[in-house]
Amino acid sequence: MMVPVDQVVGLAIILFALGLVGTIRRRHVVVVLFGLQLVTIAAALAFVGFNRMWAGRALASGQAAELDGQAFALVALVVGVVELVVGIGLGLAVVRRRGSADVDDAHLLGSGR
Amino acid sequence: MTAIAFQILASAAVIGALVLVIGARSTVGAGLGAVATSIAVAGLFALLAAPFLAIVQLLLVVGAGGVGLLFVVLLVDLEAERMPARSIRRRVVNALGVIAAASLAGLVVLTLASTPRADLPVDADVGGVFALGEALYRGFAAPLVGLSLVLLAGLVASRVLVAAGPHENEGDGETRR
Repeated sequence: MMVPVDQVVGLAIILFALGLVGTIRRRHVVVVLFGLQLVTIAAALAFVGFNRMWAGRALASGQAAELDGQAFALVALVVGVVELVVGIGLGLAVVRRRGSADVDDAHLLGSGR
Repeated sequence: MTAIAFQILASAAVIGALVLVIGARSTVGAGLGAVATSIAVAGLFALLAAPFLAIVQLLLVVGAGGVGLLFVVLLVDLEAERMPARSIRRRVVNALGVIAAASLAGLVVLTLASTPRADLPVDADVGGVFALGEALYRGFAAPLVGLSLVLLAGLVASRVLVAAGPHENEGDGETRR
């Protein structure tokens, strides 16, 4: 299979940018979490894309293929899911306390509303 | 055939991300856009000789993350998102966003121009479960242990946060059971 790595990396950058815009622009706590998940997925895609390139070069030169990029991508995906789960818990706690899912409403520490 | 599949999956990923960021007015719509993007990226992982990561993406990110979030949205009475009113400050922010997007577009073009194409054959076993497992446990044993601790911390934290009732969250010093 031949996949253009430059297009994969470009796609990863586009997804990263869209996830970042979603995190900044949207105000609902759940949608912000979705945006952060998109950022993590984009980073993992870039890791896998570059690993594909370097693995192909290593095999073409008769060396063993290294899978460090895929290992990093796996770590990134798992950490992203953990971040999502903890974010859900925090979001629910904020909604219960503030009565609103708007992240702009949770701007005061302590008992302020 | 592979090129066509890549173009389809890449388009689906970008469309899902655009639905998440701009298109969807409701939270469920945004969630479905994120799930569509995650599924498309899983397909891209499979095209990039990473089948194990594709399965992990489907199980973890799509199955656990996306569906879990959608269940939270459907079961908890969360109010609809309120977008801010148009103001001068908002227009300045939008203009800065356009400039940032244009800069990012330039970065994409530079990356495409400088990254060499990987038109190279890849062994069928590259990225398989055995090969990735061997790489993980030989070179990444310590990070894997750290990752398990992070998972444990996340599990405990989410359980504590979600299980706490509304009386405990008000911080009135009394714990009612």
